[in-house]
Amino acid sequence: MKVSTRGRYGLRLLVDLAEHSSELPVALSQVASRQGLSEKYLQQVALLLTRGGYLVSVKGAGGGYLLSRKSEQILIYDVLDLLEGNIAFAEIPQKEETAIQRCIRIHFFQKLDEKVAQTFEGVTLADVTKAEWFTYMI
Amino acid sequence: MAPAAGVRVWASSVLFMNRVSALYRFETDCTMVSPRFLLPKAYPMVSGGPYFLCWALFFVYLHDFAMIWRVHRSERMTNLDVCAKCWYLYGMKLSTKGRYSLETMVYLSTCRGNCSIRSISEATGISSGYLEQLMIPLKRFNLVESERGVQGGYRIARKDITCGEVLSASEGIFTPTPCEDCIQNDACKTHQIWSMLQDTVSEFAHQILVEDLASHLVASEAGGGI
Repeated sequence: MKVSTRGRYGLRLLVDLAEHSSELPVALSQVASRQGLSEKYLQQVALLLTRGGYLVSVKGAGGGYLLSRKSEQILIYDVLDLLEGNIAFAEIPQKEETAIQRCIRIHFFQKLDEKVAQTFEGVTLADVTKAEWFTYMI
Repeated sequence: MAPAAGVRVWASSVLFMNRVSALYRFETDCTMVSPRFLLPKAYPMVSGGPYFLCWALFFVYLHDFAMIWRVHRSERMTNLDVCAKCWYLYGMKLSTKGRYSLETMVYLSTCRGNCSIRSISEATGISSGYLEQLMIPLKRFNLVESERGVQGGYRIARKDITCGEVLSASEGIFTPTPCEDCIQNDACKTHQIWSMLQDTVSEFAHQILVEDLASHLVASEAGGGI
């Protein structure tokens, strides 16, 4: 499993919006310049997040994007799952799956996926934005 | 003459309890600055007003050194030949190479003696040419042993091989994103998510033994549940 640019940039977009959240919508050009990402690409990602129900787009002059919910209610795991399509290690079993493949899928990859889901359980966007820089100290 | 065993045990337990209570007394006299740092209340040099600022500055410097050390370490770790033994600590990637190596290792641990490339190929469905390639890193990291001759073939090197070792030997460093060398690493808040993912995956993979997977396989074959 590799996290693609879509997942990475989407998460950075959400973090940026959560950090600069106010009543007013934030234009993507601002986010792009702050984060050093291409605006065109961010538009695609923002569209995906809007469809997923994480963002609300506001049209017109002074328009832009807003988080649809509080950042405490946005789960990182769900966002990644939406952006990446599927963030599981276990692949969908093929027809001619050997016994060994089946064993590894059930006893290793599926458990790994459970473990990852367990780790990310309850981790919200708010937790990411709240992180303090001195957690790395010492 | 050495005291009797019972006396020695008693003495060591008394010493230990003293140690524990001393530690407890020390902790109650401290303020917790961070989970890792306790500040004694009694010493003004340490906890008094302006001195505290000095300590804060000191920690900022410490932080800088920690950063320098981290960068230094990551640069050093890129030299894989030097650090082949620490390699597995840094996790693994997952592609067909890793998946196939894992299958091979699980099959090898179900075998009693040596396994020829051909029999592995029949059981796993991997072509023998590709298997030869997969065996090179596994052999280099001492996960399999090979033997020449009529009875030759490959066999598992030890009992306690973990999936993490196999995957990192065949795949190298597992990084979910190419953020490792990014300059903004410490400013970027999403970076912690990726390192969390990386840590979870490599920690889990290093807990699961190939041997256990093999016993599951044997059990399922004995039960006819293929």
